[in-house]
Amino acid sequence: MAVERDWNRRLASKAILAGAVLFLAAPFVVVLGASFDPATGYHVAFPPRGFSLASYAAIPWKYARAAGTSVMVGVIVAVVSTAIGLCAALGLVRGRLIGREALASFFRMPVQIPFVVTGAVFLQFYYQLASLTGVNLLNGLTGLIIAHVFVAVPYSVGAVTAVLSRFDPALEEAAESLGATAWATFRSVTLPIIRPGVLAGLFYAFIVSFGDIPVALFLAPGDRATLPVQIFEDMQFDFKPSMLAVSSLIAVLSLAAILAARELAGFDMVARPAHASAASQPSERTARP
Amino acid sequence: MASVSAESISKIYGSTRVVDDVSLTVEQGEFVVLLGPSGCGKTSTLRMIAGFVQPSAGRIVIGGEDVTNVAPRLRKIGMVFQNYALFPNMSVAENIAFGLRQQRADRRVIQARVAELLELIRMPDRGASSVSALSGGQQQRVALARALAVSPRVLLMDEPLGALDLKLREAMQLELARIQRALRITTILVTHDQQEAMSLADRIVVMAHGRIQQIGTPDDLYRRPRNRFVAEFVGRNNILRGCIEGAGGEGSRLALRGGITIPVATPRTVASGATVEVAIRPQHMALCGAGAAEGSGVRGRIEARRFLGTAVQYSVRLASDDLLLVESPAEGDPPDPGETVCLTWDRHRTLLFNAEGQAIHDPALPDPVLHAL
Amino acid sequence: MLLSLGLLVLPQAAFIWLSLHADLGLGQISDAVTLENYLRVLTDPFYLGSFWLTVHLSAAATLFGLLVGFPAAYALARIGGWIATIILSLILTTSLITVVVKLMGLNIILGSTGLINTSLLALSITSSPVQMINNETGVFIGLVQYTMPLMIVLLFGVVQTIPVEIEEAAAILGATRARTYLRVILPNARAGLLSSGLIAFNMSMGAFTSAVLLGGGRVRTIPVLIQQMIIQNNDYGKGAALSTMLVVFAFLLNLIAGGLLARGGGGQTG
Ligand SMILES: Nc1ncnc2c1ncn2[C@@H]1O[C@H](COP(=O)(O)OP(=O)(O)O)[C@@H](O)[C@H]1O
Ligand SMILES: [Mg+2]
Repeated sequence: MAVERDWNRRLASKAILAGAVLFLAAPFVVVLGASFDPATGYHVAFPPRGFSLASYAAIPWKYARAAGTSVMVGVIVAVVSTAIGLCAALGLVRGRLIGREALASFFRMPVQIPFVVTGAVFLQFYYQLASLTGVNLLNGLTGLIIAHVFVAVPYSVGAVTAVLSRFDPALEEAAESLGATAWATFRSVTLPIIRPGVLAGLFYAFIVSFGDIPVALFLAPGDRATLPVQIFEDMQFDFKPSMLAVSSLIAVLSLAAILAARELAGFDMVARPAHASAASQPSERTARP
Repeated sequence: MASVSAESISKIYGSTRVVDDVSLTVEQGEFVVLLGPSGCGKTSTLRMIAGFVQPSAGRIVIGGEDVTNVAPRLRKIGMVFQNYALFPNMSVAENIAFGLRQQRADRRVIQARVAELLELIRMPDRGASSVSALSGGQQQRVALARALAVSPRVLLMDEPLGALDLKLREAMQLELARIQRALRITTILVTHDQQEAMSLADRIVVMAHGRIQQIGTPDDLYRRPRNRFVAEFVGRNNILRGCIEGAGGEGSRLALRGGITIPVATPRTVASGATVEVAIRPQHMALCGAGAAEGSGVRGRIEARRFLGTAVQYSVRLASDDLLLVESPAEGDPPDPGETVCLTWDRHRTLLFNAEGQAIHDPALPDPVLHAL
Repeated sequence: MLLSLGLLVLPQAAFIWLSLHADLGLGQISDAVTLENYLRVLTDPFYLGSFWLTVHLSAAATLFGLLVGFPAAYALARIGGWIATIILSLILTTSLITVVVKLMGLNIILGSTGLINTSLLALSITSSPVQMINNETGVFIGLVQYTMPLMIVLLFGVVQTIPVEIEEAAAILGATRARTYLRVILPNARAGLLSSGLIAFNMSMGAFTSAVLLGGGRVRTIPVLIQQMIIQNNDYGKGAALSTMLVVFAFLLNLIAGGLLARGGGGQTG
């Protein structure tokens, strides 16, 4: 009886929740479904009229190449920005720095700048740099990687800070009192314990880099487009069902990666999404009247 | 094992002196407890000895060696932290082995030592357990074993039993005492619990406001508190403030507010008219019927009554508006709240403090310590 | 420590340096006419129109997002347990997969031969396809898709801080469900609604990909214009001026909202 009544409570809210989930999941379901349609023309059919892997077989080589570019950029960005994020978080949480608050809000700043603007600013900067020093970062992927690190750092800082601020400093003192050097303490005590935060930082930085379009649109050389940019451009000018197949693969592999990250790294995305912790500072500030 | 001295150490944060000119020496193998209310600077003192806090002034000497500027990891001390600070990413055995690993000790040596310590803390088969699977008391013992594994010269403990419930705390006190005695390791323990201090310490250092109030054996502190603070903090004491009437000695009386007087024994050095405070422990007072002889005690009204098991505690309001705690054995028919009773006590079991709170002793009077026995 | 301090300051210094260079670049393109670019952008009805378009689309998407997101987050928080965790992970996952996939799906659903239109036609509800992409409606739907997952996650956190007990207290005191919702839950979530809404609004104002792919190049919001100015027209001056406007606008808005939050947040917690 009680359970039954419980389920019947807040029905309106639950109906809205169901609608929202349906709304958010629908695009993925449709892409996945349409990718199995046997037609190979420009027509897209959902629900599919049959089951065929034709669109998968027709995936052109350029997408694999673009995927390689995206993964490479993403991995480098994840490692670099998490390394910076780790140092920054150590400084923010531990350091007795003056103006820690101001620094912390500085670190959240890139989140507030639209990606398009970031892309434009970096493009300008690289042109200037090239005309001043002759070093053209736009030739290879270096320019894109630097810009991605810039936008990804807040997420890494957020993820590491979230874990680090719950870390008990007495653990480090305990290690030190047992004769451990600063490095040994960091390696065998601090790092293993904040590992979930570091992994979350890597994960989110990768996601930010991998998912970005505007910045890569400005900064990736024409022949080294990232995967989302490649799809973005083809969607506008040259739609083919094979793109449905590529998108389905992205969705499925992303989902698998997210699940694997949860299982292996043991971090709880829901508890501290990096964007939320990087961006939701105002609400935290007002939470204490 | 070694002796430890703090020589006039102070710690200043901003403009506040949280530790003010503290000097103490802990002899080799001695168990010393730093006792004081929360915020009085105990932790800061201990952390200066450990090396986590740099003294603003003074020296720390361990085993005859000045270690004031030596890093904590080189001081060869063991420390047990308040919430244990066990490494959650390591098993019980790995936690205990951590210090030896840092010394790059031989693997077999480490294994043997870990087994020995697990034996010592009576957890021989829990080496492989994860620390989060242990109860509070077990975590406490592992923290102790971890600190002891490297055979430190000194063992420091900051409120090590603070997170345990009462029963477990008492059991762990016995355990700590047993291990300390077995190893004869120089030990400094910090606590705000006077009962814990009394039951563990060879000597107690009482602190307040960053300063040492008194150093002495538990017995000393209980029977011969040097000032009013110690008298009130170590065990309970009722404090009555008033003016001395009549010549000093056996026959003088203390005038309280409201025109009532009580008998006190004062040394001849205390002049008539001097303001003093007298301290009487609740268990040194007796309740008698309202009709008892007026001269030997004082009348009051019972405001509240609490049963403590073997004793009954009464709150008794005097005509002077002072509220006294009285403890008497729970036997017979205890008086009820609202009743008027007469309180009596042995004048020689009371303590006397001057207006500044310093104890007044008189060599001519019987020693209160001997008298109380 | 010093190393981390250095690394800590680096991105900041880089950003300030870069923003200076952006301004310099602006000056270099058309030496003395820096201000004229701003002036042109600020007085030309086309750009002002684009600005207004961006603001009202973002506001509409934010408002709709809050209207749907809050009840959804509320239901989730009250369901609780592993079911809520799974649904929340699912919702968050949809925002972690690159946005082009989502936009491709929306194109299929909303297009003139898409799922919705074929259904409407088959049921004879309409006689001709309803235009839902390559216009503002499409961009609006795209922005809602883009911002709603994060919004729900943030609002979930907000609702979690409101104890169920105060709802029960309101019920005991005789309040109906609707009244409890309006008078007890919403007021307590006000600060959270405002800050989540602000984040969604910021995201929408800067949204580029959704605006391009669902607006079909016809809905020219400021981010779309910035990219077109710089890549297609090579007009760095105007592109930079528009960028600066967008950032300054967002900054001022955050400042104002921050002030509002700081004042309103304290008053209503009692
Ligand atoms: N790092 C610090 N900075 C400023 N004040 C401190 C610091 N550490 C301790 N204090 C202050 O010093 C006083 C003594 O603290 P502590 O030694 O921890 O006391 P106890 O352990 O006796 O409770 C307290 O008032 C505390 O607020
Ligand atoms: Mg303390």
